[in-house]
Amino acid sequence: MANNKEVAGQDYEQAPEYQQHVQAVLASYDNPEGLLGELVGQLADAFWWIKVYRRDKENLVLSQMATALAKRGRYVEVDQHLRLNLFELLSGRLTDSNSDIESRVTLNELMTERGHNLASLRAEASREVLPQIDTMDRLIERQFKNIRLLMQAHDSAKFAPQLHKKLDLEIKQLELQVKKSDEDQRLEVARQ
Amino acid sequence: MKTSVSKLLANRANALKSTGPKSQHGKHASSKNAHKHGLAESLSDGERAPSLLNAELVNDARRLGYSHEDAVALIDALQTNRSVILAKHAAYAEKPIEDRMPNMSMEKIDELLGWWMSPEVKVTPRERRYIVKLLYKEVEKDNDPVRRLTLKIDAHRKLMRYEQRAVNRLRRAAKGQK
Repeated sequence: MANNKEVAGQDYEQAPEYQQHVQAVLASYDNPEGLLGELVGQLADAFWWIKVYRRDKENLVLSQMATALAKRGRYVEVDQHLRLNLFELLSGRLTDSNSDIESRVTLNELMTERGHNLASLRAEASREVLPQIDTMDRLIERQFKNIRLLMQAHDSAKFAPQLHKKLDLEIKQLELQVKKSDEDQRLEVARQ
Repeated sequence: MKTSVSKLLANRANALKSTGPKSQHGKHASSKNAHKHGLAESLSDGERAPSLLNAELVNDARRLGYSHEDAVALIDALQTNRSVILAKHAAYAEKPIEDRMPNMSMEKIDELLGWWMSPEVKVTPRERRYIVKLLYKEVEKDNDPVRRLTLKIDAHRKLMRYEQRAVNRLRRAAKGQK
């Protein structure tokens, strides 16, 4: 069994966003309990990670863009405040939300200073974090596979009673058939 | 900030003096230093003592029509997969802000180092460069969001094979296959 002493105490399950997500998935499966509830909970977790990876893929590119603009020296010596502002500006600009004119001017000035426009900055940032994006794509793919396998496991567990009942009936029917054919044979022999 | 960096330096300095554990207990403890999540053992163990399994879930599986043996195998697989999920969440958790190193350049670290170290401490320029680099790595890790996210992604990449094996095993167990 896994030794989860290091992971014990992580209260992600208490995070409202995560709880809401799990509750929504459980509700879509008619709130199962026990074994089926745990299986659906694990299924919900796989859906959760797809959401997280997708969000973080975008955040990764935006962070890289902000870092590139905020970088000053040879090393990562970056003005944290500026980077944070740039991150918000970039995410606002890329999602077409309303950012004030002054901020847009600042961003444009910084990009021009570094010889970039928004597209070229994004392209360069994406190139920089390409290995991480590849890994995230693989992780997302893995979650889809997990979902498929967990759904199969859920269906097997859910329909196990019906399956067992059906198998029991089939076995009983076969036993009866065998018994009947035995009796028929005996009668046939007796008649002859 | 001063406290955490000083503590780090003191720990490093003390660690250099150490010749390793002496007692059996210490040796046993240090043999587990590289132990990260224990998932590897859990997946290769195969059978688990039924007492460690959630009895309620085993009973539930029995109620669903699984034989005792199949129910134990299914709940074992289910709990192993839950352990992988917990490890994933733990690996993705953000380091609390108060535990992070403040953002500063190598030059600044070097400058502060001179200020923190007492004149009795004899450190060669090479050792000093090493300490600065070590501290700078921590600064980088704690302050660069790209780096922080990269570390988390990498941790999940490493857990991927455990995830794959755990879910496959769970699917097989649910189907009543060994």
